[in-house]
Amino acid sequence: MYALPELQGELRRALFGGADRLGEAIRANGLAPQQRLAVYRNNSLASLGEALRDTYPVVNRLVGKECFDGLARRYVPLDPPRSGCLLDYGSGFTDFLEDMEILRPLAYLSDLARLEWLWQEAYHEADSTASDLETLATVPPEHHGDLRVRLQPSARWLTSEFPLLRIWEANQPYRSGEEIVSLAEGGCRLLIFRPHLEVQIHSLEAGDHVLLSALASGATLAEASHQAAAAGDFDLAASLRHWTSAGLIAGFFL
Amino acid sequence: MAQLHPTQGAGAPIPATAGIGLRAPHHREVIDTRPAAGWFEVHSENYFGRGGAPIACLERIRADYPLSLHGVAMSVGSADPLDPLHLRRLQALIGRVEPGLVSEHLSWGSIGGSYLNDLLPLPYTEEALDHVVQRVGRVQDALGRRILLENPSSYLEYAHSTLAESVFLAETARRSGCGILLDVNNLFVSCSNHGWDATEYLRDIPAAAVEELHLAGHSRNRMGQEEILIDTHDRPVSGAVWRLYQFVLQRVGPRPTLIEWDLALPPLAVLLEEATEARRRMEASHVRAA
Repeated sequence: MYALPELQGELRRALFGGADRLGEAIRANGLAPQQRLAVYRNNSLASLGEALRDTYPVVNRLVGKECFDGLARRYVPLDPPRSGCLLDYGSGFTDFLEDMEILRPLAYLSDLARLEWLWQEAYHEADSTASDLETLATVPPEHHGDLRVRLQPSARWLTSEFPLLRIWEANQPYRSGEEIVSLAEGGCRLLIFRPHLEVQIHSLEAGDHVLLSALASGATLAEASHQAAAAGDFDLAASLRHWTSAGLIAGFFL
Repeated sequence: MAQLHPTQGAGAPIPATAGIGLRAPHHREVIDTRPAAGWFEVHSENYFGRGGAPIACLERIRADYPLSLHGVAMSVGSADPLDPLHLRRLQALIGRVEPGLVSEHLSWGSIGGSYLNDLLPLPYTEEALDHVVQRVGRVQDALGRRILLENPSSYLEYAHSTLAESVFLAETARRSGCGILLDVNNLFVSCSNHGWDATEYLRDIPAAAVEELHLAGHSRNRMGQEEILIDTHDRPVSGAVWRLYQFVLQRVGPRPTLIEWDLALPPLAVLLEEATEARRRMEASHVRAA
């Protein structure tokens, strides 16, 4: 007879590790204990597989349902949820995909999965109102360079050597999936954020990418714009106008 | 025309009529059409995000309907410590939507920090009973309110169980002060799987502690010579479960009754029809009892 912690530990091993020491602890009543455990194993693995599919719909579409099911059944026991909230679950799936030998021909797949993960983080991230440039009117122009910026809490960044946004768009549910995206289109620098309720994905030019990521890590406008200018042709005023009206900037502060 | 539902104040009670389990694909339609549902229930954890569309929709719907929060992953029966972050997130959600009822399951779903995303059965022993009573007490203290505990569907029994599930549940309610969410489909499924007698089960359950009922569909699966019922929530309530529901109504009286449907989610209209059927049976049983 098991005490509660041992019993629960054994049951977890039986479901996720295939261990088989519980036989006698389970009442034989028609069905064999192993058949009874199999019902729970299926429930657990299938429901967690569906949770992953909800988070990674494009990966699912690219590899096909059957392949995705197989991947999920291998992944779940290796990296089960660490919280009771499934919104938190599955960030490690991206690295798992990268390490899978059979997926090597789809070299872009793990980066695409990273985009889907960031999309889902942004979707559930805290809300914030957007700021406009008029709020700057109260700050003397000579101090503008000292300003720092608070971006939307949902802002996420991803760079990749693959044309992720094109692949992602071509595989949305409303698209036929017939479109061919050439990997020769090259890499991307993406900004993912949610101005209101809808997540947006933007492909950034080099200057904007340097500016916004510097601002996100706490640089002043003067510092960030200096770095951006070093990356090539760049117009700070135009860039600020664009991203404030896009709703990315949650506030300015000195 | 959809009947209008007066906006309810803080902690608006869940009325003794039929409600519907609300899932994200129906958010938009509910907001746009305001269907004549008595109340809605959601899975708490689906709204643990810090912001965004799900919680915004829920707050919008909450303005028009009484709402119940149903947790699936508090892991009340686990030997692990309660997860303080999970409790805080639930507390924050309760603060935002002011639900009429908050419920959890008589089961466990995590151990050693890993979650199995399932409602696993407890051994029904004095050891487990003491543990669950203590845990329900801690959850109620942390949330500052009473919760309901639901009987699970189960597919195995432990050899060392010494108590009937019904006695275990009734004792948990008596000692912790929690209420009971009696899932009629789970009762039917577990009775069928283990050869329990539903009438005996219900005899152990104090009617006054039962504050909510659940109804859902299950599947029948052959395994060799044997049959096992699985609580799938992917189809209409079966005829046998409707009959058991009427029996339960005679025993405990009219109670808020939820139609639960999670997989192969049908159009909202199908759920509304199931809810209408539940309401019809509740009214009929009330008339007979009067």
